Amino acid sequence: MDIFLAILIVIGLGLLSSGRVTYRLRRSRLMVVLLSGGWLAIFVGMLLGPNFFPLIGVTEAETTLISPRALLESTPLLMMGLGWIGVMVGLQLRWEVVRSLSAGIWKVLLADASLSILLFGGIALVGIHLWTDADALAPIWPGVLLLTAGSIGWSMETRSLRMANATETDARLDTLIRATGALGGVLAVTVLGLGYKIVTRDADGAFVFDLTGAIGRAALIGVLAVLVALLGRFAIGLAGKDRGHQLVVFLGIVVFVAGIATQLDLPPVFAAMLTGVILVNLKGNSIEGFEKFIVKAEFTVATMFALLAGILLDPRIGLPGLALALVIALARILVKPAFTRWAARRSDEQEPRLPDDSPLYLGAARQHPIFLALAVSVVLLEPSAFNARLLTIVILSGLLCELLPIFARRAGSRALGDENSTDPRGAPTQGAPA
Amino acid sequence: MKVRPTLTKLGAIAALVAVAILARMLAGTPTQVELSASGDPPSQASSESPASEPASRLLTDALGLTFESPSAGLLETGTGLGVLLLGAWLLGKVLASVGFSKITGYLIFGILAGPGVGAWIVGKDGTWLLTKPQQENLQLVNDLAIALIALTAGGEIKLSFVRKAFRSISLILAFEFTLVLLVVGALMTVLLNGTVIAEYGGLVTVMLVASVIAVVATANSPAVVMALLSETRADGPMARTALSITVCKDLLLIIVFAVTLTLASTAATNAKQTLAEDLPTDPPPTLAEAEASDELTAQEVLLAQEVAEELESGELKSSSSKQSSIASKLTRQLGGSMLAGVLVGGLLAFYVRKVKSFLPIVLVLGSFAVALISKELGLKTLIVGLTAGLVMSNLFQTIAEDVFHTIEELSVPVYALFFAVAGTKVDPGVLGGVWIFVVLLVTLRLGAIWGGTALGCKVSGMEPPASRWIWTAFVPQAGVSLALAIVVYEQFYEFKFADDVFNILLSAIAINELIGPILFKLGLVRAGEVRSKGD
Repeated sequence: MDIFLAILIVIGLGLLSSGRVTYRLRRSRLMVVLLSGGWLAIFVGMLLGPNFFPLIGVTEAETTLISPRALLESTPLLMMGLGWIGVMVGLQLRWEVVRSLSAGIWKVLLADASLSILLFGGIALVGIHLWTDADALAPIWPGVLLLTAGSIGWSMETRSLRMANATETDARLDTLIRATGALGGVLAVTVLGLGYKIVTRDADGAFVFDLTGAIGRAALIGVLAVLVALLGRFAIGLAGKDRGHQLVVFLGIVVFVAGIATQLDLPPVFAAMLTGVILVNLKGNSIEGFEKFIVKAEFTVATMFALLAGILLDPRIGLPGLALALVIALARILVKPAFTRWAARRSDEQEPRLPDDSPLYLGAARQHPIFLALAVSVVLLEPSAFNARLLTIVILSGLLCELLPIFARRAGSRALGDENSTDPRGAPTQGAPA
Repeated sequence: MKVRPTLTKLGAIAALVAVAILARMLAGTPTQVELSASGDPPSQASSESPASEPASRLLTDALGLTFESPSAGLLETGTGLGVLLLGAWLLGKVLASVGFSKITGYLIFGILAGPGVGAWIVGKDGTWLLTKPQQENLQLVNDLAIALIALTAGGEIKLSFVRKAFRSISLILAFEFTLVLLVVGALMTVLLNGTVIAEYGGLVTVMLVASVIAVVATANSPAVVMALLSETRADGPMARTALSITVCKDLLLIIVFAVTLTLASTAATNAKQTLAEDLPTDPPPTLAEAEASDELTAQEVLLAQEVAEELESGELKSSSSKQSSIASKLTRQLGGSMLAGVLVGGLLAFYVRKVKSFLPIVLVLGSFAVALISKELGLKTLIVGLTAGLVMSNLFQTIAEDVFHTIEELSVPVYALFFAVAGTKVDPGVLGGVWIFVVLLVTLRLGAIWGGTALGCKVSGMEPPASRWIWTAFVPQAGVSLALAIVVYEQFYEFKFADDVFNILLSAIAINELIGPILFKLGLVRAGEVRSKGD
């Protein structure tokens, strides 16, 4: 009867999250973060998955609400979710939009990518090396690459950081943070997509570097993405405005392209993103309705995906894993906002100058949601304990990046004796410590 | 029919297939090992777990921990799912433009993409769209589709209508069911006469086993009925009565199947014990000895070896204990499924009343949970979903509208996927040696359905044109029939006749699967109950 319990948990949490109690809880920024960032779904997923109960010392098979076998069978659904996310990311890259972005945005993106690759690549390399005690780079390459690629960019959500009395420069900064965040996500997917197969497994299962093979596979996936996009374009036109038919076409395209990528041992998000980019830049007029439809389903897909991520994660990361997550989170919080402020002020040449003390810079500390999708795609390709634990590190560091600034701000407010430095809904006010 | 758009759609299907095959070839997936399973009896293949696929291997991760790599079949499943969704949908559109039902298109694409046709076209070593392991990995997604279809079908059953039309529903059901049972049962009795089971069990045993097979022939598909009613937006006495009968028949079928299977397996066990006394089981003959012998077939030798092992280990149960275990299992399955359905329906209604938000998520997750529940607890997804839909639409009418409206929006991909997956299970290769019996079975079943329904309509006083065409609703077969056929095979697999009977049943189900939707759509059109054209 375990599965009934699982349904009751899901329905119970659904009721809870929409009840009066949580409505009151949502007045605090901390609870807004916990209830709306997909963390609740991840937590429920973790309870349902096969790895949570062994962590608390319960090892009987009956305690696993979703068995590893059922998990295995949900792989096609997981591929569908990853494909959906990839296409959604790709659809953002409409050529007219990309062309209209200011030079400042590109410069900040370049600066952030360089910083992320150097700083977080270094942290990942040292951290994973200490954790695994590996004597070569090849076995830890996928992990290092994942943590490096995922650190590029930041969450595009800035509404919770906006000030009540925003000025024109605040609005400009808001655009810069959101646009750079979105492009950072694209870059993260590309870096992992291109770099993942630099290391492959040989016939004996040992890790080996294979640069030529990686280039070949990337070119191949590019060609296949073009073909799928052309096919998708035709099917979208055929589906017209009927929602049911649009759903078939979209599900078909995303799972097809994600499936092909997985078959070729490449991250499915990358192939799906390429398809999305090509799809959105092909001439025609039926894509707009299609985009609206996809965006409408975003929350549904995100929730289900977060649930699956929770099921897949392995929380047994130990002290080294915990330390790695903490270092990544602290590095993001301490370095990224300050660096972004510096890069943005240097890159933006418009007058009046961008503000120096806006809480919007704090947004740079938060992980891009695509990081989670990338980590899940790595688990899908190689469902090892190491990758499942890396997923936990990604989730944990993401949560810490959301929570630590809030705690820091509260502590700062208390130290200053100013309890009213945040407004009742939790949105920061001008002058709050950034 | 417009030729150019049709050709363009067919071109798109060809391109889709080409890309999928190209990807498989480039991935360098081993195909020989996977496709070799297609020669095995279908039940054996379906009982294998995806985890036991041959293409996975043990690897070591960066922490030095070993894990099993995902098998090629599992990794290819995404491509297979995409091909099935897009290809079935496109072919459905093509066939709808020439007057067929879209379901026929979904089924045909599934058949063409399946491993059976694949082995025909490219040979066992070739690269084709869907392999057996992929097919098995799609099972949970397929169960999800069944849960959603069953919820809708259950929701369409209004108890007020069933009460009003009880006389015609029960009479048509009784006559049609009985006549199909008798006619197919007689055919199977003739077919089984002269086999080992007749020799050692006598005519009664043969008749009991034949009746189990006949029960499979009485089954029809609530999913096809529901999908066609949804596609054609048909409404009227024929549509409503046909759906009510189909659902009621499904419940009746489980009970009758449980009873006949219990009786037949008891009789078969007795026959097996008689055979054990006659055959040299101590020590049992080897296959080489059997080949040298004119009297024993290899099948009988295997049976004798098994009986000897079972006698030794004490596993050969008495007929009464076996009877009670099968009966209790099937009763548990039926009762448990209905109970779970009531619970799921109640929970969904409670959720809609109290929360209502994120209904698509809750429905998809709920259906996924129903599929998982059924798998974990050995229940019937179809019956859980049917009962849940029935409970919601009849006990919580105002609330249920939102739920069914949401499911309606999901219906196109659900139907496309479900019927395409059903199509992939068809293997034309098995038709070869038994085609004459297949034609006989299909024709006799068709005649019995027509005759039984006509009789039931006459006695109940059902008015034409509904009475003239309602029989077409009972022709289609799909998942339920296939599942029952597998149970029959697993029950009697030791006997030589099981292979042939299973192949006959499979082929007949495949033909009914194809002609059923065409006939039912024709029936709905002729009865004047179709409200809009399919496309």
